[in-house]
Amino acid sequence: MSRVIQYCVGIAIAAFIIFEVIVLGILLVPGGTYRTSYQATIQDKYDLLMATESPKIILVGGSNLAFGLDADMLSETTGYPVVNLGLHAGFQYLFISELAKANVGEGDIVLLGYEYNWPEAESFTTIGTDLVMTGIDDRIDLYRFLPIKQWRAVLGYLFTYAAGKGTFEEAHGLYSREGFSADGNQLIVERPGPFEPGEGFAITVPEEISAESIAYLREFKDYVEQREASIYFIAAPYAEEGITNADRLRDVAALEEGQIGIPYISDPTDYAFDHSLLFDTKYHCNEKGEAKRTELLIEDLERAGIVQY
Amino acid sequence: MVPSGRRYIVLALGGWIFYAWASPLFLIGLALVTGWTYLGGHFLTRQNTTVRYVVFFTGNILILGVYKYTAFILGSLQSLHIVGGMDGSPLMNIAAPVGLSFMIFQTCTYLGDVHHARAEAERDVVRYAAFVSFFPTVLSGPIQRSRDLLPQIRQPAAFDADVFIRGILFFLWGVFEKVCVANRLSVLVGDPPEGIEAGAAWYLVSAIAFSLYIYADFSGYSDMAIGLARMLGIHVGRNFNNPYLSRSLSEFWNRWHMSLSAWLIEYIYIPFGGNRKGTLRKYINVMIVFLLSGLWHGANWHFVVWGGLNGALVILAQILRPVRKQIAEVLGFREDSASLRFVQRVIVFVLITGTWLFFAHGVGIAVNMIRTMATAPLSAYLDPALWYAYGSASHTAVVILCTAVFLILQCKRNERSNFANVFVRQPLLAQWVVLGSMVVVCLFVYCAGYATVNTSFIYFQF
Repeated sequence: MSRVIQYCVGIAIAAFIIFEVIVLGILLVPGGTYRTSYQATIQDKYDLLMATESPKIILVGGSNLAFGLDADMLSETTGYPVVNLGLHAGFQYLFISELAKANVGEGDIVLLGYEYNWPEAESFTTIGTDLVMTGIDDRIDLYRFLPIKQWRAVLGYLFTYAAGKGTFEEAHGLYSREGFSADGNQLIVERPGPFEPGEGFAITVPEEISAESIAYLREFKDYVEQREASIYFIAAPYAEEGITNADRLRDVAALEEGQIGIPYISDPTDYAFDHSLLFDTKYHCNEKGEAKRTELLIEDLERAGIVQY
Repeated sequence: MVPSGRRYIVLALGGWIFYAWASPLFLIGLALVTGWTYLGGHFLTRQNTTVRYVVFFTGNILILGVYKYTAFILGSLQSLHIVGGMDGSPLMNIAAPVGLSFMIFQTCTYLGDVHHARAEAERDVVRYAAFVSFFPTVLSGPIQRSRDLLPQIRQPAAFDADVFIRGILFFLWGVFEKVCVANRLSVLVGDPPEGIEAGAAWYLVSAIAFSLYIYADFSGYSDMAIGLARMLGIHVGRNFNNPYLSRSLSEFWNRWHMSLSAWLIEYIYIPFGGNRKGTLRKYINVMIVFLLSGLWHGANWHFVVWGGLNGALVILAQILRPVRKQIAEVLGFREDSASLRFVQRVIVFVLITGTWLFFAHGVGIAVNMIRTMATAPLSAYLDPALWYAYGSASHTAVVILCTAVFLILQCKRNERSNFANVFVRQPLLAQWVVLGSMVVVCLFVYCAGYATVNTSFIYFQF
C-alpha cells in the first residue's frame, strides 16, 4: 500500500510542478506584452483603489463610466476622493465587482453604474476571459480576484493568451492605456467624431433579474455594509434613440431596488442623451456628455442625501 | 484496509451510493433488477427448469422494456393511430435509470450462468448487490458476465501494487481518450461553426470525426472502468480491440463493444439457432441480432434502421465473399498482402462511417449528407476554412495530434510489448512525469471549453 501512496504522491507532485511551470511560464515570459492595451488600464485603476484611503467614492461598471465620468469634477464637488473602476463591460461585472472589494472601508460610497443588460445571468457567473487575462496580464496578484469557479475559464484560455503574445501590436490613442491619466482614473485623449445612431445600438433591457445576479449583489451589498460603507445603484447614460420606451428603465430600476435591496438613486430617464452628447457607441459620452452625466450624478447624490456640498 | 472477506459490503455500498448520486429514484430500478434476478437465481437453484429460466430472463428484459421502451412503443402505436391520447401521459415520461441496459444484460448473464450450471447462484444478497451495482462498469460497461465477476467479488485477490498502478495508467488513459479526443472531436459533429459551409467537405470531416469520436468516447469510458476495477483488484476484460483495423464487417463487430457482441451471440444468436440451421436461418438470426442491437442503443426508429443497415451489410458481405475473393485474385492481391489489408480496412471504415451517420443524425439527415457527398465535385472537398474549425489552425493541429496519439497507442495495445508493459518498466521518475503530464494536459483541454471570449464583440460590448 505504501508503494501505491508513494506512486500517487509522485504523480501529484509531478503534475503540480508541470502545471506551475506551464502557467507561470506563459504568464510571465515574456512579461507585460499587453501592457499598452486598453484593458490593461485596469491595473492602474486597481493600484489607485488600493492607494486611496477611506472615505472615498468607488464607481463600479463598464465603459459608460470610463467615457462618461469626470472624476476630478466629482471629487472637487463632493470632497471625496474618487476611484473610477469602470472600463469595459466585456470583463463582465463579476470581475470588476470582485476587484472593487479589494479596498472597501468605513464611510466609502460604492456606486454601481452597470450598463442596462446587467441583470442577465452571465454578468455575475462568467468573466470575459480574453479581456481579463490580457488586462491583468502578468500581474499575478490580481488573479486572486477571480472566483475559483472562473479558474477553469482562465486555464482554458491560457494557450490562446500565449499565442496572442506573438501577434499583439502595441496600442496607442483613445483605446489604449495611454488614453488615460497615469492613475487610470480619467480619459485624457480627445474623443473624435459625432455619434451616428444605427443598427446594433438599441438598449436591451432584460425582462427580469436573474437569480444569479440577485444572489451575487445581495452578497456584495452585505460585504460592503459589513465594512461600514454604503452602496447604491446609479444610472448609465444612453442614446435616447436606443430605447423606445424609457419608462421601462424606471420599472427595472424599481425591480432592482426591490429584489436586491440596494437603493437606486437616479432616474434613468434623465440619462437619455441626445446623440450630440455621445461619440461612438450608445454608452460612450463625448466631453460635453461626460460633464452633463457627472453633473446629473452629483445631483442624484445630493438629492439622496449621500453627499452635501 | 477492509478485510478481504468483507470487501463486497463496501463495494455494494459504494455502488448504491454512486448510483443514487444522479437521482435517488434510480435506486428503485436498481433494487427491482437486483431483487428479481436474485430471486431468479434462488428459484433456479431449487429447481432448474427452462420455464423458470425463461420467466425470470424475460421478466428481467421486461423491466428494461417498461423503463426504456414504453414511450417509444406507445408513441409508435399512436403514430399508427392504434392508440390515442398518449401525449402528456405519465407513461410517456418514464425516466430510465442510467446504465439500466448494461445492468439488465449483466444480470441476464447471471440467470444464464446459473441455468446452464456455469456458475452457482449467489446466496448472499449483499454480495449479489455488489455484483449488480459494480460501480466501475454499472453506467456503461463493459458488460460483465457473472461467471467472471462474481468469483472475483467472492474471493478478492490480495492487494497488488503493480495491478493498482496499471489501473491508474488505464484510468488516466481513459480520461485522455474522453477529454482530449472524444470531447474535442464532438465539436465537429453537427452544425458547422461560423465561417464553414455545411457542404460536402464539412460532412466528410464531420462523418469521420463522429466515427473516431464514438470510438474514443466509448473506449475512454471502458478504459476508465477497467482502470478503476483494477485499482479494486478486479479484472475486467477489454471492450474494444482496434475495431477500425478490421478487414471485414463481421470482424468489426467482433472487435467493437466486445462485451455486448459476446452477450448478443450468447443470449440471442445461439439460442435462435446461430448458424446451425442453414444459411438462410443464419442470415435471419444475424439480422435479428443487429435489429435488437440497434434498439438496445436507443428507443428510436433510426437506431433500428442503423442496426438493420449493419445487419444487411454483414449479410451482403458474407454472400459476396466468393466474389470478393475472385476479384482479389484477378487483381493479383495475395490474401495476406499489406495492400489488400489496407484496401479492406478502408472499405470497412467507409461503410461503418456511413452507417454511423444514421446512428448520429437520423435517416433524413444521413441520406442528405450521403447524397451531398456523393454528388459533390472534388473541388468541393477542398475547403481551407476547415483548418479553422476550432477557431485557429494551431488548435485544429493539436486535436489532430491528440487523435493520432490515441489511434497509435490503441494499435500498440495489441502488441505483446504493449504500452502498459513498456511503461511500467520505465524509471519511476519517468512514469511520474508522463502521468503527471497526462493529468495536466487533460486539465487544460477540459478547461478549454470554459473560456468566454469577448474580443470578437469588443466594440459592441463596451
